[in-house]
Amino acid sequence: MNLREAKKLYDSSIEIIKKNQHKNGGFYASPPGTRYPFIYARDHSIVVLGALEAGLVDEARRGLEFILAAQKPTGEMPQRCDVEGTDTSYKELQIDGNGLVLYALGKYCQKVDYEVAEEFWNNVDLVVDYILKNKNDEINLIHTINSIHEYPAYEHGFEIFANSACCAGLIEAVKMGNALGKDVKRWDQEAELIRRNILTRLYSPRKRTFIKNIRIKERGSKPLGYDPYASTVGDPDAAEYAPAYFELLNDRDLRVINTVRRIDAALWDQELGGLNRYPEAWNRNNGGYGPWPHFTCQVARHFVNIGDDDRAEVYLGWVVDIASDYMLPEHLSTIERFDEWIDCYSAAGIMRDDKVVMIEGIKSHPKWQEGFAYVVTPLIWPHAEYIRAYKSYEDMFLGGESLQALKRQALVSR
Amino acid sequence: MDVRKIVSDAFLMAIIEGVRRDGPEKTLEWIERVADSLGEKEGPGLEGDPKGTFNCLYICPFANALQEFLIKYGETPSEFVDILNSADRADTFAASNIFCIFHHTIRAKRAGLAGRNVYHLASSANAEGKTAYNENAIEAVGLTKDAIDELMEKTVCVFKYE
Repeated sequence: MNLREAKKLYDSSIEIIKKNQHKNGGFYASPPGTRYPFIYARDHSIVVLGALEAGLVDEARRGLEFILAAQKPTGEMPQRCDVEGTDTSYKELQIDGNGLVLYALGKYCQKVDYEVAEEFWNNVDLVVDYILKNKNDEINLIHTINSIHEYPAYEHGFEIFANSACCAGLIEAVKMGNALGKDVKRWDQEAELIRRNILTRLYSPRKRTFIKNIRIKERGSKPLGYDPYASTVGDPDAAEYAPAYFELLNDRDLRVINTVRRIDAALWDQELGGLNRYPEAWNRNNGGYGPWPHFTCQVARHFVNIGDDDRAEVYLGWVVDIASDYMLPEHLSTIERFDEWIDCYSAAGIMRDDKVVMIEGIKSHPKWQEGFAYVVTPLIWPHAEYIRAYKSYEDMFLGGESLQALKRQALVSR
Repeated sequence: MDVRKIVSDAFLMAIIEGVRRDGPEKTLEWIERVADSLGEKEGPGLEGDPKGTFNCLYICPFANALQEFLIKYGETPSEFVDILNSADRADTFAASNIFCIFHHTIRAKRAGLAGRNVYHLASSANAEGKTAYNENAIEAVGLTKDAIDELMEKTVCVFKYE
C-alpha cells in the first residue's frame, strides 16, 4: 500500500466530512445536488463515529444533537430527514438506524463527556423503548423490514446487522444510564438476551459462520414456524461481520474469523478487487455489480484487529487505489456489468427516472473513460469508514519505526 | 386469511356504511378526523420526491389496497363518488380516489406540525389513470393545468409545500 497516498486519503476524508455537515448539524449522505442530499440516520451515525475517530469532537456533538432532536413522536429515528431535521422517510422500518444512533452517542460519551446524553436522555429512553417494542419474545430478536442494504427481499425478518446494531445500541444505552445514575437494569437484561440469541440463532455451527437473516413476515407471528415467510437466508453477506463490527464479539473469536473467511472467499471481487456486499445473483445491482469501499473498510478493520497485516493492506490498499481525486464512490463496477444491469432492468420494466440521472452521473465520471463505472461520488459514509480503518491500521502497524520511516519518506518526497 | 387486507377493506366498507347512515359530508369529516389523529401520531414530516419546487409520488401507496377492494366489490361504490363530489372540499384535495382524502389529510397534518403548508395539486391514482386537479391550489401556486400535466406524465401525485 502506498502510505503517502493512504495518508492523503485520510486527510481528504476528514475535509469531506467537515464540508458535508450542514450548519444545523446533519451530515449529508452525499453532497447537495447529488443523489442523496438528505440526512440518513444510518449513514449519519457512522459519519459521527468517523468524525469522532478523527478528533472532530464538535462536529460529532452537533451531529448527535441534530439526529436526536429529529426523533419521531413514536420514538423511532427517521429513516432520513432534511437539513431542518424534518422527517422525509420514504421506506418502511429500518431499525438498525435506531441502534446506530445510540451506539454513536455512547461512543461519543466515552470519548468526550455525558452532557449530550444527559440533555437528550428522554430521547434515549424513547429509542430504547422503540427498539424493544420491535423485539419478538419467542426468539428474543429485533424485527425489521429493511436493514443495511435497504432490501426487504433478503432483510425482512430478524436480520443480523439490524440486531447487532440494536443490541450494541442498547449496551451503550446501559453504559450511559449507569454513568448518569439511571435505572437501566431491564435494558441490560434485554441487551444480554438479544446478544445471546444473535450468537446462537443467527450463527450456524454446521457452516461455522453467522447467517444473514431469519426471514419472518410479522414480528408477532406466534409460533414463528407458521409465519408465511419462515425461512433463513444463509448466503454470504458483508453484513454478517456485524457482531464483531459492533463489538458483541472479539475479532479474534473463531466464529468471526470463519465468517470473515467465508465473506472474503465469496465476495472479494476477482476482477476489480474490493469487497462486494452480497452475491451477484441477488440481482439488485444498481449501476452494475461491484465492490463497495465502505464494506471493504469494515472488513479491513477486522484484519487489522487480528494482526493480519497482509490482508489488511490488501483491503485498505484497494480503497486507496480506487479513490478518484481522493474521493470514494458508493461502489464501482465495470462497463460490461453496468450494461448488463441496464439491459436487465430495462427489459424487466423496472428502470426508474432517478436511475437515469444516476446513469448520467456514472457516464460523466472521469473513470468511465478508463473502463470503470463509479456510482455516486463522493459518498460520505465510506470516508468515515476509511478514517476508522486507517486509524486502526496506523495504530497497529505504523507505530514506532514504521511511522518514522513514513515520516522520512514524506520528507524526502517534499 | 390476510388480516391486513381485511382491515383495509373494513375501513373502505366503513366509509360506505358511513355515507349510507350519515351522508357524505359527515363521513368525510370522520375520515379527516381519523387521518388527522394518525398524522399527529406520526409527527412532523414531509413526503414525496422533491422535483424542483414540487414534491411528487411515482406510485400511490394506497392504490393496490383500493384496487383489490374494487375487484372484490365489483365497481366503484356510489358512496365514494358522493364523497369525492362533495363540494365543500373541492379546493382542498385533488382526489382521484377515496384514499386521497385520507392520505392528503395525513400529509397536511404532518406538514402543519413541521410548520409548513401543503397544496394538493393533482393526482391520477385510479384505474382509468384519469387526473383529478385542484384548480384553486394550482392557481394559488401560480401554475397552469398544462404545466401540471407535464409533471403528471411520470408521476401519480403532485403537491407543493410552502
